[in-house]
Amino acid sequence: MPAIAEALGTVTYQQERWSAIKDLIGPLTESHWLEVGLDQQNIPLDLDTDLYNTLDEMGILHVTTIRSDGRLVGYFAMCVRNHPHYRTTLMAFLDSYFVLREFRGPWVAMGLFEAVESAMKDLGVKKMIAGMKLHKNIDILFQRLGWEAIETTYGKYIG
Amino acid sequence: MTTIERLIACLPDDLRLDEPVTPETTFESLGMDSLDFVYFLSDVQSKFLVEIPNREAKHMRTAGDVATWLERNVCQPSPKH
Repeated sequence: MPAIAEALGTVTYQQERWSAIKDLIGPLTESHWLEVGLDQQNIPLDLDTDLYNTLDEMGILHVTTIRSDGRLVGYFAMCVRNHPHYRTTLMAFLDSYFVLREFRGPWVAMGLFEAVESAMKDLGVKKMIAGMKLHKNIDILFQRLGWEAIETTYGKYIG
Repeated sequence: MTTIERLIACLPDDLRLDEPVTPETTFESLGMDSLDFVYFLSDVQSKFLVEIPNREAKHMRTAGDVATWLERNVCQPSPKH
């Protein structure tokens, strides 16, 4: 693993269309899945690019990316839409977030979260909903950035 | 114990400590990620009874930066008369 100081380079955060990154994101989503994916024996990674294309075209999918010296090294994808129970309130629902391990500097993920929040505000989002895997607990990071725990999610493999 | 020594004691245990940590050692060179850094800030805040705003923390690259901020922002006990 390269030292973080050597790897980081010039880090930038920006909004990017799915269409602009879909050909670059494969290695990141695979690293992401290998690190945090559950039930890997039974549920293989198989990104539905057609669905992401559609969400992008519908203006629902919003991706904030991290680039280091221009190279894509992380992402935070949100789906922005009105909640069916609260039709007048625009909300952002997490799709996924990930940063390549060797680019996780002291403020890189925090900067990503801040960039996402700023982008969501610009879109008129009133509430963001996101989560984490319990085996990759980042409660303290969410709380540091002013998020509140609001729900516990359960899963059960019944394949 | 100096401010720097107290700060170094707040660093996570599992960092790359190939060489002694000095005020100039960057958090990046220690292999700290955001999670490590937030735990570090939390520990510093508890020990120094201070809140370090994110807008300040994001510019702190070394223990020396944190020490400088603390020395400017933490009320020193009044000398006894």
